[in-house]
Amino acid sequence: MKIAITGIGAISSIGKNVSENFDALKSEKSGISVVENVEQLKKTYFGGEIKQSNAELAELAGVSEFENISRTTLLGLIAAKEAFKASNSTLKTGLISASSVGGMDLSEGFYKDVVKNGDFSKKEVLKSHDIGAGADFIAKALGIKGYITSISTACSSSANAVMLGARMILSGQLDQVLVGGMDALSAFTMNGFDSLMIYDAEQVKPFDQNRAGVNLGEGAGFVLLEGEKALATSKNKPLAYVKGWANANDAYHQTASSPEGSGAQKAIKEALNKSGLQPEDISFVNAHGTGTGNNDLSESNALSAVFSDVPPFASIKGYTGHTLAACGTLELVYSVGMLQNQLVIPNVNFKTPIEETGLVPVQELTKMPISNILSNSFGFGGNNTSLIVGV
Amino acid sequence: MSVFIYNYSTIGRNVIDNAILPNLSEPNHEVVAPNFKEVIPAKASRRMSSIIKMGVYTALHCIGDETVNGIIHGTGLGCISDTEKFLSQVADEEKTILSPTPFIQSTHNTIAGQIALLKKIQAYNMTHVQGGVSFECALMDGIALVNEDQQKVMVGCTDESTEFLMQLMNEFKLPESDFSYGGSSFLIGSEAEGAKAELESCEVVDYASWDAGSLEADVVVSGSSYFNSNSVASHLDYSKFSGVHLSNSGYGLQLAIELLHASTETLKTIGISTPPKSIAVVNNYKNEKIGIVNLKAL
Repeated sequence: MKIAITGIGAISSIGKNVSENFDALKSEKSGISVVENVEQLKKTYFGGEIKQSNAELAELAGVSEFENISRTTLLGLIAAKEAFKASNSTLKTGLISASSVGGMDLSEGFYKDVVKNGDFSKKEVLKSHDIGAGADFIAKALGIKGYITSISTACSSSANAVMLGARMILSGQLDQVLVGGMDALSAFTMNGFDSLMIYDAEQVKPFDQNRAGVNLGEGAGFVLLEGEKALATSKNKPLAYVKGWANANDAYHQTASSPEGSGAQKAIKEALNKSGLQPEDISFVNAHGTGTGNNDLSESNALSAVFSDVPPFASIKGYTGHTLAACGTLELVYSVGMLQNQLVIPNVNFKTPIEETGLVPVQELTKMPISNILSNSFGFGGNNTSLIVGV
Repeated sequence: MSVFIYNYSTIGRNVIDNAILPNLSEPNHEVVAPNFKEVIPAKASRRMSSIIKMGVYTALHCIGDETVNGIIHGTGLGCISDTEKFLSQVADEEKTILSPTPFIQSTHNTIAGQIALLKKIQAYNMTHVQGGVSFECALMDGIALVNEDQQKVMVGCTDESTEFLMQLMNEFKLPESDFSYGGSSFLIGSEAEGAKAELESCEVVDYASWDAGSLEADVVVSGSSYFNSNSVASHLDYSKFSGVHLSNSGYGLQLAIELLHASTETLKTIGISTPPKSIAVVNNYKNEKIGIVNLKAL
């Protein structure tokens, strides 16, 4: 059975809906800037910050009382609403959401109030802290009642949500499922990546020899997945198909990837197996490409090991920053756009190939035939996920 | 395809030597920690927070020497103590250089990741975070994975308690003494041989539209994974023994398996007259969701 993508939604620092996002990508416009609206930062950071306030986001999301709703959830709801089409009530519909830190954007401020001043007055924000609460809020807003879960596997979270959604449709437990990821910028994650010394003080440089770490970003991406039964009822038009997926664990280190990318290799190979495609059927690789020394080398080595000729590849992180749990589905939305437009969005800020691999990412907007895109998402905990999306 | 449970392991109130049932006559509020060093290498254990230790312990205890084709974990709040530690550094304006260890270990999938790392398991590795039904979400994923021909899958759940959480209980006027912590792991798979019970189904349903009369099992054990949740009519309320926490439905499931193997005499002491052929474990989360795990005796 084919798993169709019939709805897409996106919000990030390059746009508040799918068309704004794709227009920015086509004009190679980056959304990375100096982060202005996050408190408790230890220094000045570049990031993919969405400049709208929570109040403005709440209006976009159609939420009237937003003080105790996390920015993460607001972003998620905006993208989820764009992707979801009200369904026929006879269909079994589910929601699989993903986030890395949930409502941290609000709870970190509350925590500071408590430790500094013993002030618990903002405690109601904690009801928006746990990741599951975000999923429940979105489900309620969209009228989804059945299967609701959240995945949190760091940076591979929403790619895993897509995989789980596809599996739930294949097993017949669901007919259609809205899957996606969301994360707002927070002092917790920005100071956190910096404490690991993997936050580039300048603009992120994926796959460049002189890359120095991530720029984090915020956003959300959601897609509506439908199986054959749902398609027959909903009459929704497939925009693309999710053809392959796999999750494998590197089992090497809590945060670092193995130099040869053994978990990544396993995920890519198993996703290819699942899709029934050959390596040469992959037209383009949407790389995880975070810009850290470790990820980009490990991912390059994994690509070189699986593909005798590494397909054209690029990372989107130079446009949106690394949106953590959101990047898997946000980039899946972009991949659908690349398939629809038969257009590859280039990697930005690249100058010098990585010495060990010599791999050069796509650097110019390229019209080319694209039938299948491999999309990688790799996270802490050795969590590696590969998806294959195609026409 | 039928799915079976081979092994279990739980940490929580009234669990001694991995057994719950023998300790129900004189319940207390104490969580007796197992000897972590028996299964977790000392060097790794030293760096682990309570939740990681508990999650890794129950999983490794369950896995033993088995080959596992998937690791799935559920947690409502994740690694809260490491999160607090890192937040304290963030909030401290004097501090400009932060220790990354608590940040690294704050990630929700640290537990499943550590299990994979210690056992060198490269298979499917997933973490579900869905409030008080996180365990049920993980278990549904596990059942699906077994149905996709993965022979043995490790499914677990853990939630920890911290002083700060206890303080919050107070602030929200919730009964501190009922609030607890703990976790469970289950080794599930497709072969009947060596199994302790059959895992018939697992689902999460909307509380408002749920009919308690729809349960068909001989015996029902129920509990609440959050405060102020209505009790569901049952033979035994496991949350009275486990305490309330977001992962206590794992505790309920282990207790149910123990009940399937209990003597007639023991069953009589808790008011069950006939040895059950089937048990439903029902978890009420906030009067919003009901988690149901259906078990069958072999």
